[in-house]
Amino acid sequence: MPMGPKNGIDEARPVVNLLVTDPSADERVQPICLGLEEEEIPWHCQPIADKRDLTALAKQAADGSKLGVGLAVDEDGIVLHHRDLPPGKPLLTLTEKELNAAQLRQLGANAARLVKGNPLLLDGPEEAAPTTVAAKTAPETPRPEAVDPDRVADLVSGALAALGLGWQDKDTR
Amino acid sequence: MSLIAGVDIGNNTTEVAVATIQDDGRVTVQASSIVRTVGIKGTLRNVSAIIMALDLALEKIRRQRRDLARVLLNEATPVIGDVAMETITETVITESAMIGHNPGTPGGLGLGLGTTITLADLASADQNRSHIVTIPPTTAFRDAAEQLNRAEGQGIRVAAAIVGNDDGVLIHNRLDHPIPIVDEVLHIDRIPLGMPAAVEVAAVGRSIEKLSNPYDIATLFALDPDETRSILPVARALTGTRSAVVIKTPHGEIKARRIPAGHLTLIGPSQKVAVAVDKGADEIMARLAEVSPLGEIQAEAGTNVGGMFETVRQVMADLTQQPVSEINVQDIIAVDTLVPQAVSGSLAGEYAMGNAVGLAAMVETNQLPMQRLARKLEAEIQIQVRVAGVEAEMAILGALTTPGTRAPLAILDLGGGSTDACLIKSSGEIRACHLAGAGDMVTMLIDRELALDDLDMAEKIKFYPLAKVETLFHMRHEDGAVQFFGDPLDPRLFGRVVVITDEGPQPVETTEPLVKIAAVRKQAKEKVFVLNALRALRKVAPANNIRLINFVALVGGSALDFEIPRMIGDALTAYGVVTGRANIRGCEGPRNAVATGLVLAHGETGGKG
Repeated sequence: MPMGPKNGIDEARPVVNLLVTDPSADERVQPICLGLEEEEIPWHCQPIADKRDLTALAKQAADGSKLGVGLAVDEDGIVLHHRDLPPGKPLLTLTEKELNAAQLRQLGANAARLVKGNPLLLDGPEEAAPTTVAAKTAPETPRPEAVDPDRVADLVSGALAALGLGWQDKDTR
Repeated sequence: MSLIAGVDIGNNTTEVAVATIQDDGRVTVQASSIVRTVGIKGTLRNVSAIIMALDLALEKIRRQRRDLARVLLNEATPVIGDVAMETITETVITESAMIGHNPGTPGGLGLGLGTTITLADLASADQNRSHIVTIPPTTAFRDAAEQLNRAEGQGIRVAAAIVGNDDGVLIHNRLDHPIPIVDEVLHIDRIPLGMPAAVEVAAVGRSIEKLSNPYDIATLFALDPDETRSILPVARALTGTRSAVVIKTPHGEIKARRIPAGHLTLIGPSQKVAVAVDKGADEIMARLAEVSPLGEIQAEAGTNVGGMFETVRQVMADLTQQPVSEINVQDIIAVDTLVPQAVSGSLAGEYAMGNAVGLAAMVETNQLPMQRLARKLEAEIQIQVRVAGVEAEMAILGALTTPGTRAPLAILDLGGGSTDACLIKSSGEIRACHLAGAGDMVTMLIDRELALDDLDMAEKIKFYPLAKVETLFHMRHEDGAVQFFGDPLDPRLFGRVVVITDEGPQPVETTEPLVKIAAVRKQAKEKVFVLNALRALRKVAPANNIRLINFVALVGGSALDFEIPRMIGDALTAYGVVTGRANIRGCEGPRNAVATGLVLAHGETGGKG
């Protein structure tokens, strides 16, 4: 075990802790660290031999982090956790084997944003970083609209009403 | 004693009041209900919602449809309103003169001056000058840093870098010599090469100082006074940004161009006045006030406004089975606004604020399709149906059941498509008017000014207060109150401004801070509802003097808004008027005025008619 941070966790400096249990996971860890670096949040990355549950490891990393954020990486997945979250409810869990560099960078950026209190990037790596008023980046190609359950309820309501089969509507404005 | 029902079909809601009428004419409302109107007000599709509302109300008193002696429908005056926006200025950058998109994480610090060159050409660059290096998104940040370091080592001076990817910090951290770096540039391939350029990056939390000052730009590029004048819009566009790039191309400049937006023609009995839309709302409203009485308004074909005018006239024509040519737009409201627009010729997808005029138009007609509707309803429910009572009169009668009111009383109905006012004098005489500009216009302004492109979200922002999610467990409401949650909030809400709807908090997809969103919301309501409240009350007031009205009651959906009644109340205190949300029959709030009025009027006529 290396000197300094114990059990791979740096509890002294304000950093995001990354625990890596799979020695060959360096390819996956690098882009995450780049995401953190671009957002200018310091981190401490530590390979460890511990083979415990990934979520528990991530929680431990977060609990020991002065910034309150921790990550754990093994060959099956990546977990992003936070000091204030219940142990069994991490913020993000990624289990896909085929995560590309852009997605991993975004994960690192999200870990940083969690520290900063900025909105997370959750719609895929194409979404731009937040910019201030004077300029936004141009709108991307339209994505299929997520279905709004309220709108569906209204449509169904209207259809049933037209057929004379209504049900009690809420107070509308 | 008999059981009757009054039905008010509105643009958004259909309301019912079920009442008993004693032999001596005394009316007691027993139950009420409200449902969403199906179809446009006045069309046969309304019938299904009417039946639903009747059943709902009857259920509350455990009665059946067959117990009803009569159903009364309001003599709805069809009013069709719509909104449109005309942009009157746009920002155009010619020959790629600047980059001002303000990315979140630029690299380095300070000012760099040099000649633009691609990274690929850097190795063979001129050693006698400084260079601003452009780095395409295909180049990995490590390679970029390596090549920049190597060039410096060979004596090639690099003053700054412009990067396609979000790699500003990553590259900067690997450089031997610090330079300012602007990243996330979308169209890096369009940057003119071989041109003098300047890159400036300020410290975190600060704004640039040189490239936002025309005289500093003049110094950096040795501009003469005329060139300095034409660089002013660039300096202004870059004010307040943390990073910026200015490129001196021969004809490069940024211009605010006026867009011709057509004319409106205001026609009175003996006047015909034309006003250019791009003169702005104040000019339009001033001309409008001059032409009185106003007969008709025409717009120019091929403009957004012209298209909107055609739509409202066509909808009304279909509704009333009249020829379109007989339908005229009788009222408009114009509101000045600033909307973010994509800048033409931009290098990084920048937006700039452009001037725009928001317009609402309204058509109304005396032709009523209500008889047709009554016949259809009668056939469906097998109960006698009568069209009874002019809507405005019924509304006032209902409003007078609000405790604490008496004539002269005016009501303001702040709806979706129009703002309506009605006054009852002490003599019992009633005056009414309809004006363009209401809830839908407020929604449009919010949608455009925040560039949401989502009317549903704009509608929610209009109606519900805002909060900012600060941690996974708490949010701060716009009034400062902090709310904690036992379970962690959805990650999609983290760090975002949210709108607190009845179904829970929903994220607002914008980078604007909460105070800006709240300001846009308040101003939109002021610009439309306060202006129209005064216009409408002036129209119906005795001698057009609002002071002669004692009481004003707000009815309709918008009266339930958390801000509008206070705003209108504030505007009316100057006139010494008691203003507030109506409270129909002391229990319904601002709802059910017309339905209540219908049954009351029926009792007054002794159950006849």
